[in-house]
Amino acid sequence: MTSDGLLLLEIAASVVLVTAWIALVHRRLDAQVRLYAIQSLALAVISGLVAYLYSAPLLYLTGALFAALNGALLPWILLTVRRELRIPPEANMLVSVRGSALAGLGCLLLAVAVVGPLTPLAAVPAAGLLPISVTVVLVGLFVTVSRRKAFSQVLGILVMENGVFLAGLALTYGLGILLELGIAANLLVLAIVSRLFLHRMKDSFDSLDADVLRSLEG
Amino acid sequence: MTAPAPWVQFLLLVFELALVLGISPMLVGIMRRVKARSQRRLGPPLLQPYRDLRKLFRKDRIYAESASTLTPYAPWVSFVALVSAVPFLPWFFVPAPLGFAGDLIVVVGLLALSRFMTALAALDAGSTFGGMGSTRDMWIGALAEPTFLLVIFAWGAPSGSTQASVIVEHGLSLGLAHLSPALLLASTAFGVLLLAETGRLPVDNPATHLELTMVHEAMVLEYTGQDLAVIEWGKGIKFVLLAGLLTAVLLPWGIATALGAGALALGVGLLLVKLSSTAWLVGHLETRVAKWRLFRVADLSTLAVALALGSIALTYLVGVGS
Amino acid sequence: MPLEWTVVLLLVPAACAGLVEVVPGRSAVNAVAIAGALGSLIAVLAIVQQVLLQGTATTPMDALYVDALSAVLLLLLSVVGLASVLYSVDYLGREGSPHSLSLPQLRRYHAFVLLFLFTMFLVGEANNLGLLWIALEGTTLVSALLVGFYHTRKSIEASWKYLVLCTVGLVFALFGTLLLYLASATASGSAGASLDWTALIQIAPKFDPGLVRLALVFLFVGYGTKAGFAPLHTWLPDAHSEAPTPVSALLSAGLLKCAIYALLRVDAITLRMPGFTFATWLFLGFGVVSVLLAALFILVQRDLKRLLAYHSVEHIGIISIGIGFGGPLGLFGAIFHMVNHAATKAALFLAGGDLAVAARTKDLDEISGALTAIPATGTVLLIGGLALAGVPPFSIFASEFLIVSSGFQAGDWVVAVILLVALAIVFGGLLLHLTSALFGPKPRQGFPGIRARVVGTALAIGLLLPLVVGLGLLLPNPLATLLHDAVRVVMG
Repeated sequence: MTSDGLLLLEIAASVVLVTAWIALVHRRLDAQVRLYAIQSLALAVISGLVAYLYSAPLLYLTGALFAALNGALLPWILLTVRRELRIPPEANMLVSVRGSALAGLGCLLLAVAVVGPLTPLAAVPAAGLLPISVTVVLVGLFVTVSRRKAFSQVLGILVMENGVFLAGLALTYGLGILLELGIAANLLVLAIVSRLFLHRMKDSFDSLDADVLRSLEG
Repeated sequence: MTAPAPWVQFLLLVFELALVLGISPMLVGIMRRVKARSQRRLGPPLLQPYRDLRKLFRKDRIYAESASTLTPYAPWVSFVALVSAVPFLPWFFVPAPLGFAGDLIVVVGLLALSRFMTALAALDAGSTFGGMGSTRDMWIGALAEPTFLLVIFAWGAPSGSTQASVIVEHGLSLGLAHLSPALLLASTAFGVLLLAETGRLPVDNPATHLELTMVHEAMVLEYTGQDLAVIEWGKGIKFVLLAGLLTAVLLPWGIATALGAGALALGVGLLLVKLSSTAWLVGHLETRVAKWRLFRVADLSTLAVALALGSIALTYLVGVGS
Repeated sequence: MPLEWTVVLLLVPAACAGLVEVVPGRSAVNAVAIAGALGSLIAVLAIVQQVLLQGTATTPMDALYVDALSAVLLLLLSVVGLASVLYSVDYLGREGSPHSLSLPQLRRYHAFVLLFLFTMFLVGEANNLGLLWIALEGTTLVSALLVGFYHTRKSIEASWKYLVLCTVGLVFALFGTLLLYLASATASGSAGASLDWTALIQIAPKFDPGLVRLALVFLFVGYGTKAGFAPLHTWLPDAHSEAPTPVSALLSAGLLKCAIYALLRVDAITLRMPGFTFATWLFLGFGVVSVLLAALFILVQRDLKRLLAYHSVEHIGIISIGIGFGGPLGLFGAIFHMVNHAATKAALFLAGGDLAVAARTKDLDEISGALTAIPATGTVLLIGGLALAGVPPFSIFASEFLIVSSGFQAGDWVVAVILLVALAIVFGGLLLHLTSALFGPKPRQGFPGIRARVVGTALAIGLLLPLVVGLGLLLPNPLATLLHDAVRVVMG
């Protein structure tokens, strides 16, 4: 394990963090999807690095799979869905851009506060990535809850999954190829099911704001 | 690290000044060219800004009747303020020639002085555009300067110094380890700031004279001739200053720490590469974004503040940046 | 090679899900669906027998691993699954009934239900906690499609909420799972790192408490959302009320138990860590909040299916409190309560669906005199309602009694008293709602929508009702052994 390699890891992880942060404040859905794609590709690179550094050849496969699915296929599905359904290109934010940017900072601080006190992490070389991945998870959560569009909620969930994937790579060098495959399959099905629901929503509500989904209360 | 002899320092200083003054119109040219090219236009030749400057320097200076005695001097003070920031920054050699005399906060101060003089001059003639432009510019400045300071603190946190030279030397001593997430966060923040400070899209459109949107152009409408020349030149220098600082901190490799023909040549060469690639990137970015409403500049600077604070948090709370 | 019933259990519903798409005709589709559910029940019974004899039923490498705890879950899932499919045949599958589906829709419906069963069985059989997570996320994806099956605005809303909330929750759970993996990696040296439950309980005593605590937070938020812990339950009443009735029964009786089961597995790990009580507090905390919040909502709820949904929140809370009280008595009560609640709630949903069809409304204020208008359904509702409220001698009373007494035994007076108060409120609320609907005057022209052919419904409820009534009076020996073994699995 070289320290230079570890650094490349950290750099790629920062790309993941920065893309999440910018996606959080960006007002264009397409740009957010592209940022997600970049983020996923950075994760695929991380996966390859981890494979190389810890001689875990199966992670090359995971990385390739991840690049193909999260880096290409899912963004493609999302972009097509947006075009098919003529979803207006702006992300409708419940929280302003400024608020979102500060929320990103809040996520980071929370992540640091939560993860900081964990002692056994000292033994894990890439433990520095854990706060970053928790931040990405929290940022994804924030995107999910702070956007009116159902579309953005899907995007937020995908960002969250990316954060978990990063943590998995950093801490345990992945969960094993079979589980990764299962998780990837789940993600794909999630994208397909969401696409289906977005279509249905468009047909029945003629709007894709989650705001219209308010009839069931109590 | 021992500083070289005073006369060597002086030579370096002169050379740096010449370099920055000489190269700044070129970078403006690169940005225009890249922008034109990515819009499928031919674009002006790279050397066009030099010709513009020459043309302007040959012209007379004319002032509005209502202008006070401040107007003729303001552009020059502003220009000198910008030029005097050069020796505080690391270009191709550390320690910087005047590094002992002041740190990056001085640079922030000099930039603020330059901005202040320009704004004052714009108000002086009493035209509406001048007032409008200067209000807008001061508003951007009010948002950008504190952010700038925060980024400096974030950058300086690992080495415990706000001196550019120390930051760069610390970075060089770490090797690749220098590229920590904290640094990248802070540098992203600075990248955002660079756009706002140098009046590029999406904050200000350097190519517009549309009264609804222009910021910097509105302030300098009253000037012509040699005054306008130093204003335009100063704008280019400001870009070089900030781009140079960003690349020096983010990618310090190549900056010489000891005298030697090879090291210095490498330093200068890489500096040129770094600067022109920054200009190239900015040019590309400009074709991809539209001008934002002025009040959204606050969004940008909030993002930059958040990123810078995040970087500081990472450095101090996790120790990833150290 | 001997017949691996654990594999059969997965193959049967999966194969039948494929088969319903190809067989010709309505009755054949229905028959295949019933065969799938019945086949699963048979496979589960075989597995249970194996577990009773040998302690576990596994495949090589322990990829699938069924012990007494998972056997209980599989048992309740397969019984409820069969009941739900039988009921669906009447409710959705027959031409002419008010909710009947077109043939292509019916194929899809049955395929989804069978896949839903498949994923839930996988939850019960997975040894690897990662696989468990994948299976649970699978249940979300399939059941979201089922919740939104009617394509009405409300059902789309409910299913979207369900999909988003539970997926967000499950991402948290995945993170928690990852942290558990990290705990096992640091405790065993990375060579022995594993997410296999059998491996985790071996090295659990060496886990770092801080790490496990963080993992638990993520896992409880994640699986807790899925289980319907208040205040994470907001998807639950919507999904339960908008889904087709047999699916509501499956959700409430089956799916929530799967999530609780996942938490029980995690609890079993933490119980092996000396001096670690964080999980207990989480169970008690979520349990108390769920019970109290649900009790309040039950009082004001007028919609029959939403009422039942809030009862699910309440009973999940009771189960959680039981697990929190811990000890042999509390755990026994909690696991027993899982079975009882599944049977009772499924029976009530099915009978309630029948009532809603007959009365053509789900609004309890508008229903009156069910007991005289539709005596059979009315009686089931009466029994089920009383059972749900915890009246002796029904089975839920037995398990609630166990849980409360374990609380007093464990010295958790406060929680036990809170639980009793909440139970009293719920009891009052239920009586309030059911008396008028059941006993009031029968409408003059009778109920408008009484159904003619109810063989499937009768069979389905006939399958569940003995459990509702009988388990309170007499716990058959094999089941008692199984439950005791399950408690031992958790406690170690």
